[in-house]
Amino acid sequence: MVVLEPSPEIVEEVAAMLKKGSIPALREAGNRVRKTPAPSLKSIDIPAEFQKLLSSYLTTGLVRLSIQKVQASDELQQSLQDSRSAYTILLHRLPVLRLPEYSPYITIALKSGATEIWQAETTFSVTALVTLRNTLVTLREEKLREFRFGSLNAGMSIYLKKGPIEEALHSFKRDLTIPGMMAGEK
Amino acid sequence: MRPQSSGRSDPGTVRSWLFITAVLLLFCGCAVMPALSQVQPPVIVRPPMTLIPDIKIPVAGFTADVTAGTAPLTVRFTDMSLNNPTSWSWDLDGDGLSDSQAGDPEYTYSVAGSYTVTLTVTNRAGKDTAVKQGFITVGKEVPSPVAGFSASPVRGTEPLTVRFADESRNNPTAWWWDVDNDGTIDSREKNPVWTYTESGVYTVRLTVSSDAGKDEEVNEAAIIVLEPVTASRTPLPTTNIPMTSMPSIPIPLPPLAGPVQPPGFAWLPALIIVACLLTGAYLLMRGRSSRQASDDGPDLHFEVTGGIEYGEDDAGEDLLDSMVEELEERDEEEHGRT
Repeated sequence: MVVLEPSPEIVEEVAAMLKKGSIPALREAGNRVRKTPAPSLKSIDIPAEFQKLLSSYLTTGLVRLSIQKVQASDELQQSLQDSRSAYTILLHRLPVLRLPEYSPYITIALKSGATEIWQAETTFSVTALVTLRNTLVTLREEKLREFRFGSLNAGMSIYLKKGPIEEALHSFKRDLTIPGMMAGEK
Repeated sequence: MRPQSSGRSDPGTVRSWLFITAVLLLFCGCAVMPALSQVQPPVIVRPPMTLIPDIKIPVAGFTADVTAGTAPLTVRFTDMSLNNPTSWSWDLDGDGLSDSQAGDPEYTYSVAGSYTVTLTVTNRAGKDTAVKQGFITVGKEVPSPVAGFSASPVRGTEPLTVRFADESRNNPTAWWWDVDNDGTIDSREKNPVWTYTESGVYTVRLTVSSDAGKDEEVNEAAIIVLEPVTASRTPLPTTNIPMTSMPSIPIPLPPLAGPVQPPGFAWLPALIIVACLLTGAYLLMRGRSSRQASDDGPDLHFEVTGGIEYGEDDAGEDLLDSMVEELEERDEEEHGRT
């Protein structure tokens, strides 16, 4: 599975979310770090790892589902049929995309060698509305070959899954940049 | 003329009088009986019973639930005065000033020292004072113990005998070791020795206490007991020495007069050498020195992993994967050119 570099804006939002201290697994891991005598263990910054990974997953899910939605749009389906030779199209405005829900999950495990002593999985649920402007899509041989965002505005809500219930953790709406996937980038 | 008898009445007059009397009785019976039937029962009015107690001068007295301890010491005093005092005045720290007017006050002594307690009780008849010199003795604050321990070795094959060493601070006086975290106390010694006979990762819990308090230290995965290494799992390198090349060494016979060695002991040095070789080889294969094996803690580490689950089919996955691959290839090409 390809995991993209996290969007810096999403990193900021995840940091703000984690600051609230609402992830039980992180609290438990922190307690275990404090209790465990091994000095090398204490140097691991679990919240930072957690933040980085979750930001990457949120970004990847957002991008993947956005591409999926664009690919499924009528405009693109029409264009794909005429794409024997490569050409790039510019999609000025697309309707607001309501992305299907996706669920990033993070597992924190305490191990002794290969033996797992403790682990806790945290599953999130994410819903997003995406507005795309000036999207560049390169088509060749009836396939999408390249996808570049002109601008990407996302309204995102992140929930914490607790069995059958979901607890709303964080929501934001802002312009995002996706490293390596923006039209202006080299 | 016949003389009139003065002692006799005229019979007519007597009859008249009897008639009148009967009528009067009848009248009275008719008039008085109904009235009598309505007469209320007699009300007996007694003078009120006024209890005039015999008030006596109170006799002051008191006790305390504890009279000695370390600061901060909270003492609950109980009034034991006689003759029904109606007010109390306690000087609990011996400074001559009243500290409480309660019947049974509570007081916390935060400074070490010896304290005189005075109770003055009063009622309408008078007052009395009880003084107890140096009644409360407060010692210096003793810090609570802080549990801590070390163990050696912390990793090895079963059966693994581990020597635990108490490293608690602030002088605990009691120790409770649960060396396998099963909830039962395995030892109350200060520095116990425990043999683990089953492989596994063991959490050790030490609880210590003193008069000043109690503390607990839990070390997750403090002891790791591995299954015994068998020859089949870790084959050791062997060197075959041809029998023909072995020099024949004459074995000297023991002197007849000397102590006869049991036959098993003749093999002891050889057994020790073989054991050392096996241990060395085992440690070599594990890539660890003998010092590391005994001194290192368990190889504990955290892993943070994860993934994404999509509710719908991953139509975009191939594209994203191929795009990233293409980008990586392009990067590599550009780097190759430069």
